[in-house]
Amino acid sequence: MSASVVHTTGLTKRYGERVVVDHLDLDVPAGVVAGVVGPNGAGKTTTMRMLLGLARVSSGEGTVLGRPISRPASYLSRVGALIESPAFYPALSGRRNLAVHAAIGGIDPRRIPMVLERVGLADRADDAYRAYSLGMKQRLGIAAALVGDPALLVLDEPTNGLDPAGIRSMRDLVRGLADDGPTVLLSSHLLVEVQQVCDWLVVIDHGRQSYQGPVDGILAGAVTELAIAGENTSDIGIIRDVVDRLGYDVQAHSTGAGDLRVVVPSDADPTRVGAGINRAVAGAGITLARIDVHRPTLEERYLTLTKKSA
Amino acid sequence: MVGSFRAELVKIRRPATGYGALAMMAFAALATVLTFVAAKTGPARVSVKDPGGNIVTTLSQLGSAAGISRGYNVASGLIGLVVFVLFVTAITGEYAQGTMRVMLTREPRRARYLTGRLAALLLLVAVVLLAALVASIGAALISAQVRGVPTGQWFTSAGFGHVAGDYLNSVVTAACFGALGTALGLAVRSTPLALGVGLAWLLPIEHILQTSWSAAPQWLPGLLSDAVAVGGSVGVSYLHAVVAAVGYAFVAAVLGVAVFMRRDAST
Repeated sequence: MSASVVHTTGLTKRYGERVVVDHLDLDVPAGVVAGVVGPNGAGKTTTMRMLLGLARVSSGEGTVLGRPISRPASYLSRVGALIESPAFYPALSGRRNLAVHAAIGGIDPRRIPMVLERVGLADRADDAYRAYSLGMKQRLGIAAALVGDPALLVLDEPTNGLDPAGIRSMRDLVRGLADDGPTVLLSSHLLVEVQQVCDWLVVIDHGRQSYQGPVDGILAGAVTELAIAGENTSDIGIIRDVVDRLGYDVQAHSTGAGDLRVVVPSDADPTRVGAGINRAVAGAGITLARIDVHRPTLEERYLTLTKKSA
Repeated sequence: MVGSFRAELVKIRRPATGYGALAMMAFAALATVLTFVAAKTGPARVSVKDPGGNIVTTLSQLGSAAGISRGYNVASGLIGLVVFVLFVTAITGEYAQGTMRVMLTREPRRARYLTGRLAALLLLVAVVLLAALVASIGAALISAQVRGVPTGQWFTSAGFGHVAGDYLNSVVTAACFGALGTALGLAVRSTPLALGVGLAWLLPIEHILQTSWSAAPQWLPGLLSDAVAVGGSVGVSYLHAVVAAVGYAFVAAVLGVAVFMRRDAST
């Protein structure tokens, strides 16, 4: 049995000849907010549907909360899910819709007012679902996922279609939920969202896993660079000689406008490296117009990973 | 199964269900009144035909023990279609709304989920049919006064036996059409397609086949289920109709569950 909340080995989903999820080895530790990111059609939702027993696994195996994914009935009572989009009975109120969930799941209906309060829907709980805004529908979806007091929360693109205020509100809600205990598995194609909410990251592209680990870890292998430009573009050769003498690695290409790209050693402070170069270049009679520290972003790393995978 | 049964009851408990039940009661009462209005004078045990050759109910038949639920019996002929539409839309509506996948994350044991839901729907239908029967009997009592039909034999053990038999037949018919509607809904998942195919088969196609194939009432599921509702019909005995209709319903239910369990739960 795995200590991970979600653990899969070679998880694969095929529709005929088309491979939608290709040998995915997931390993999501307990207590984290894990972001599953990837472009549209990468296989995020299909992966979640397999974990929730909605789609058959073509090959591979795995566990959710320590139970085999081949027997979803053994663990789904401890899982809350918002999959694809919120789906409720339009004629019933939010409260009645949650009562349906409680009844089918054998859940204590006294939890309903609590989860409605938690997602900020208590005031509109008795309105028909069809009268809800998109943001309220998403919130009711979260409430339905929470009503069973889950150990694992699976949220598929919970901010889809929301306005900026709604996205922010949903982000705060998800982060708050994670602080209360359950492990959260969240799919998104919004890197900003993932960076702000998640502490564990799984990157999927074309059904394949490109990265898995802490969010900070994805940036660990990336280099920080200094972009240096002299006052005159003709100074570039002298600046390069000075930097070479200092022993720093100069990127072969110029990024335009006379810029040099200097790789900052992984154990060095970029600001100190920049100051040293500035001092040395000044000693050679050259004035620098600009020194920028360029730290790698999650977006750049993501694009690098997904490009590699493609 | 208990969970999905209770969940279905939560969904059912709303004004629209009450309006539907009232409509069924009104329909049964109307059918009963029209049966009394259209009744001709004639013997109780011999079929009387109108100028068009159709068998008509006689006032003597209405005054027999079977007369108490004669109007309900006539109305039962259409119950099958109503139940068919109800069960088809109950399944395909879940796919259209996306609620099927949500419910299956709560109750992943699909056979249990389906059984619980259908049991709740069938209970609803049975209760509505009972209400329709009561409405029909009420309308029959009033209509009997107006047409001068004696009701002395209605409230005898034979009369109550007819009431129970007609009610049971309508429930069996509902179950058969419900199973057919559910299986079709699970197979095609689309409301327009399921209703289009189902109603086209049950209404024109079976009846066209009936005109050219004399054995059609003994073999076609819609005609067989209709025959159960009215306690047997011309060309098919009651026992044959029950056995064959229940057989079709059983096969449809098994195929429906098999399809439901094997397929991915997509929208």
